[in-house]
Amino acid sequence: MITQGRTRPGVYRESAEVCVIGSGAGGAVVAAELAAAGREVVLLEQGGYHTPNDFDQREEHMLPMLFENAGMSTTEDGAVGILHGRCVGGSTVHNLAYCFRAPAPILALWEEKHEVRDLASLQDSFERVERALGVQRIIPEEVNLLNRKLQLGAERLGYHGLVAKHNRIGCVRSGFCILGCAYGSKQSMLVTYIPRADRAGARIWADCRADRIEASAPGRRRVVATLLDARGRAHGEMEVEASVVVCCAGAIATPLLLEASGLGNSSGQRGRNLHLHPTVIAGGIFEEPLHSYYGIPQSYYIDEFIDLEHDPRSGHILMPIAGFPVLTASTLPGFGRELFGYLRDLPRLGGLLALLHDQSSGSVERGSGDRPRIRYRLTDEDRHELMRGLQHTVEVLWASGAEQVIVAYAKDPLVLRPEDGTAEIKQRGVREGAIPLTSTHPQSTCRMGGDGKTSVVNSWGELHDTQGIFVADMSVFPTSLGAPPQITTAALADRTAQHILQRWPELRT
Amino acid sequence: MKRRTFLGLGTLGPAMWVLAQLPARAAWLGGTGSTALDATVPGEPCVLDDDDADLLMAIVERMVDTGEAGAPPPREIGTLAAIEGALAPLGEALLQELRLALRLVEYWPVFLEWRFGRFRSLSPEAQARSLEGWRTSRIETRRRVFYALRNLALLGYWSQDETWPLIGYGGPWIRRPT
Repeated sequence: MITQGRTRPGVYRESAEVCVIGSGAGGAVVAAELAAAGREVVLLEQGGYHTPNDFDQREEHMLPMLFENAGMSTTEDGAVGILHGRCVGGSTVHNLAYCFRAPAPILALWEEKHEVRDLASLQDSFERVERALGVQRIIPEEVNLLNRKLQLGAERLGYHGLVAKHNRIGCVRSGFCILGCAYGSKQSMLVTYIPRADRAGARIWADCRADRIEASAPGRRRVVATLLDARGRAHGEMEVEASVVVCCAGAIATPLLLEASGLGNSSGQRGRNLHLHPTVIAGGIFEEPLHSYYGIPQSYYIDEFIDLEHDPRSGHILMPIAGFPVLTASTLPGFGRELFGYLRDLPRLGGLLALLHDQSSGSVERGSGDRPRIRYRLTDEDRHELMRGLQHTVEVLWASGAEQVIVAYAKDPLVLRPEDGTAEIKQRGVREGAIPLTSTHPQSTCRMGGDGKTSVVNSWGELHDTQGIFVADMSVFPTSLGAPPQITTAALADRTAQHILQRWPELRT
Repeated sequence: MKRRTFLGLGTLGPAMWVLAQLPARAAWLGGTGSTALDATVPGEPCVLDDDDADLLMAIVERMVDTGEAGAPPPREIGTLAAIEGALAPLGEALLQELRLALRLVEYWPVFLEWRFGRFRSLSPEAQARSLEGWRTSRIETRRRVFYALRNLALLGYWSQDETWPLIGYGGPWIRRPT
């Protein structure tokens, strides 16, 4: 049963075997797997419950409905915008459906350097998750005009790229994925694992913010939560008694919840090691209209500049990006007439972003008003790598036929033609605050590892310092993943769920 | 007073404290005491009072000024309702910061640019110059305020059907009552 807390003010008590907090790529999988195996599950989600019928493809409605802070969250210094989900289904409701498994060299790094054990079992989880999400490679007819042009441009330059795998069934290629799929085609958690958890008897509460976990006695955990009205104001209380708690609220909210609970910090690493996969965008202006916001937005990607076999800690990938008016305008420089001068070319605009596999790290902790204080600073090496990424985006856009490329430096933005070259980018570089950076993949703030002195959770996601409390979201990545994280997050959550089931007789007591 | 939160306004320290004490509508600084808001759609959430909303819309007008004769004025379409829809779920603490940010923009010309008038009493050109000062300020917090307000303005204006002909956008594939 799915209950919308916004319509149910009052005081509630629940008792269950497992309480799952968060319903995105991690929480939905854990809840469904445990409920399907017969465990009594309560799932709490801070965001609202909305179905494809609610998704009207309009930015002013969908950004507040689906995103934390209507998509306007940033790091403390404002340098990196952070887009992450706040709704039943989490970020899988608004993501662009790339499906990558964790690269083998990254898993090897996690095993060798972070002593994560038994990652071989992750292969079974990858297969289960990919089956459940309908993952398949995009067929050529589904590649939209912008992606085709960028593929051609990359091939002209001799850069390696691939048409990606996605989780879509019966896609009508509208292109509005980032505003929620109105057709139910994107196989987000909202239309896959959440209904499965529901059918298996999980009791799902939307609009219910977990405030703290009380873990005073082994085998008895209490989650104290607040029911929220449609404007996010408290209008009720919830307490859930459970033997096991699984935190899946994402790499921003999970460490904050543990901090509020006084848990998970025996290593001093809770909330640290934040990686963001920061991206920098260049916008190409093409001669003819592309209407690149229609059609599957990301079907091709360029992996020429990441060689994880050689160096598992750095590199960048290039991915197409197109946006609707508001999202596009927010990436353009200036305001008023200057900004309009760029935006009036919207049908001819097509973007390419460089996503950094970052070594840089930051932290998440509670700030004033209990809101997150997110700190992040690029290393000089990563600034250089992002600068190289920006140069590559510009070169690929030119090779794809763009007549001009906009580089949105806050001060004196660049509009570059092929004859200009990219020397100016090298000279200016990429620095926080000088050019917009965006993240959709915060991760690693409760990292997994075999050593309780350097990591927050063990190899299966259980807190080193508190038995029966697990983390199953992007927080647990020991390092930056270096690839879109949806499938890896879901697979690690599946693996954690299987582990909980194996240990159930021990954990229930 | 230590605040580094949504907009990081605390870094402005004493200036913010002084400005925060000022009423949003001060007749001695050229305020008319009247508002002309007709953009709020009945039934939509109202999260700003009339004067804060009027001030916000004055900023929006500069932020989305296209210079095009046929551009729909922000106050005549659903701009404010769209912005309030985005603000509604943010919580009172964030809204309080927004109100402080609005006052900072309103009174900055008086106290820190030594102009004879608040933001709303300036000419459009002077308003644009004042906002440019926020955008290019060496103070990180001022830049953050600028971009927060810019994001709201862009969301409110360019999400409206009436603006899409200006930028050749065909709109959603599905049409449902809004």
